[in-house]
Amino acid sequence: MYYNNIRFLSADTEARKPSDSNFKQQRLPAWQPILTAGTVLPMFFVIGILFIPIGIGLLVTSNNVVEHIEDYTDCNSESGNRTCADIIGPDMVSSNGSTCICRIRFKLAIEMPAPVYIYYGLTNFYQNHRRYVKSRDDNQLLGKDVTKVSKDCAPFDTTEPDGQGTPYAPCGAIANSMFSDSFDLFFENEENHTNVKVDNTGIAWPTDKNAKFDNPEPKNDLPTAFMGTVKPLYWSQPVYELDAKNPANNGYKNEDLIVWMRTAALPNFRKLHRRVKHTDSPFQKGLPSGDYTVRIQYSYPVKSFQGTKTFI
Amino acid sequence: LYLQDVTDQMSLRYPRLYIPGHLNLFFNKKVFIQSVLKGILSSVVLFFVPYGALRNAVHATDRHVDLTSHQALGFVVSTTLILAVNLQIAFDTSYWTGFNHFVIWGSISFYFGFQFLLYSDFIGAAYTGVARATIGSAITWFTIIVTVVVLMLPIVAYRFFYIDTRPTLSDRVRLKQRYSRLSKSRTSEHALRPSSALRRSRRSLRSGYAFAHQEGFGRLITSGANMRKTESNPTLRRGNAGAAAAGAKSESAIQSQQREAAAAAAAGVAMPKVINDLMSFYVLGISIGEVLVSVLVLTVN
Repeated sequence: MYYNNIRFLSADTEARKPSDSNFKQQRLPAWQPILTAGTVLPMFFVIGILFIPIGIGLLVTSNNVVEHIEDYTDCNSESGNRTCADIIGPDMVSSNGSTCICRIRFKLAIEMPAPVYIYYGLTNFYQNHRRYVKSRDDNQLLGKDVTKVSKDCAPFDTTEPDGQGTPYAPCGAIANSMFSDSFDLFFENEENHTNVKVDNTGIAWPTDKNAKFDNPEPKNDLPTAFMGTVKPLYWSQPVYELDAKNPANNGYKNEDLIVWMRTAALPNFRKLHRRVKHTDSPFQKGLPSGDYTVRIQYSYPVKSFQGTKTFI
Repeated sequence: LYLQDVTDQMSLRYPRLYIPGHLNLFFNKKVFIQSVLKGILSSVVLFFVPYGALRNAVHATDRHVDLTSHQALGFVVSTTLILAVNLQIAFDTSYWTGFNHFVIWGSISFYFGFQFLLYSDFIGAAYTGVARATIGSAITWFTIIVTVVVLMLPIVAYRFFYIDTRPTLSDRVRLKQRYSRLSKSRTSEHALRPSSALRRSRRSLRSGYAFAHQEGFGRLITSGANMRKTESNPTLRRGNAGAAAAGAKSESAIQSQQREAAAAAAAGVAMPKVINDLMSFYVLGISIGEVLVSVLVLTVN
């Protein structure tokens, strides 16, 4: 009896027994790495040795970069003895588009080799605030429909609240707070002040300029194209006058606007402003050492948020 | 199914491998809090190293590429995160089948493919072109590599230190497995006990253990199969010994198992331990110091 039961049982289990394949019996061919001294110590050595030349290379290249920084937040205005910051007021509402001219003299101790770039730096400016970053309308910047602006731009979308009134072009807080100082660099060579020519194109990402920003139709007559919109609150000129001399750089395609619209990640940032043209002497090899003057058209107030502005 | 630290034969031979499972040593509150802390520390490193590196960064050749932009920083941080997490998983995987390879390297390449798709011209409207522009700059790659290495080094060092100085039973068994595999191909067993001891204990242990798990030896005994000499066929699980002999053999099985475990430990730590530890500390210190120096250089930059 017992034997018969066992026989039936064994027939059953034979049928239920899982197959002896590699997959089911967990015998898959595998690589089984084990951390032994023989593998880990050489690996550490290799990593350490690899990183030494990289560190040296980094140190060398970073020491080769020549940089000159001038903080001009509190520069004195040409006329009178108040600072420009006081003259134009602490924030945009009180300054209302006024500008003041101030000059900064500095000396370059060593020659700056070409190519030289001019940046402006801002501190304490939180371009990474969530609502700030959201406040733009990419469709409008593509030139799709001049009359429609998205709700993301509120409260900088239209002149009246709740979508009434005329839309701003471009809308949103990012565009509204666009940096509006301008710089003129002069090289003083005893008597003649040579203006350092700068290029205001080629400063934005080509993908941005080509794919994300475009003017509305008709492209060759921008004032008509932007009919029905007004300039943003804090701007002193409408968007189609940003660079009247160069139609490829006007309107939404203006590279300063594009550079500004690419929000920075950190509160202290710098953005590319101009590229120095190295076509005329004495700037063919770079900026020679000597005295320089930068004439700043100061119209961007930063005192209200205790920021500083630097010319780099 | 795909993760296995010792083969099934080995886990039968060393039932003490199951002890940590019983005692809940692999996942309890302490281990959980440890991994939470590790995650917090990793995320601090993961964010602040790219932050420091990209703070005032400019692209070496294409100056118009703004590496300090929001999206560039986000791209670098998320790439570092994916690489670090996948490498840590890869490091924990001690049993690499084809499936593991596919999943881990596949998820890294899927991430990159997905990012390029998201940042391409026809999909990501607000994010166009970020990936292409930032990966062209050496500084992003260097930042990614440094961050991943900084995250992985302490883990590798910690694991290695513990395997070397305080190996658990499963580590020792895996080492033994590796040595037995190597010695089988080399036919030299200088690191192991003689094979007759192996075969004897394997057979007897299996009978001592198999006794509890199979359906019984009645049929085997009555059929006389176990009377045959089974020394030449060590994989035959049933019919190795009679039920009466199992009790006496299991005692010697336990003793020989202990001796084998000791042999495995001795084989695994062949080098003098003191020198081993000093070397590993020294190299660890150098490499961490190296990495810290390069991070400092980046932040000063």
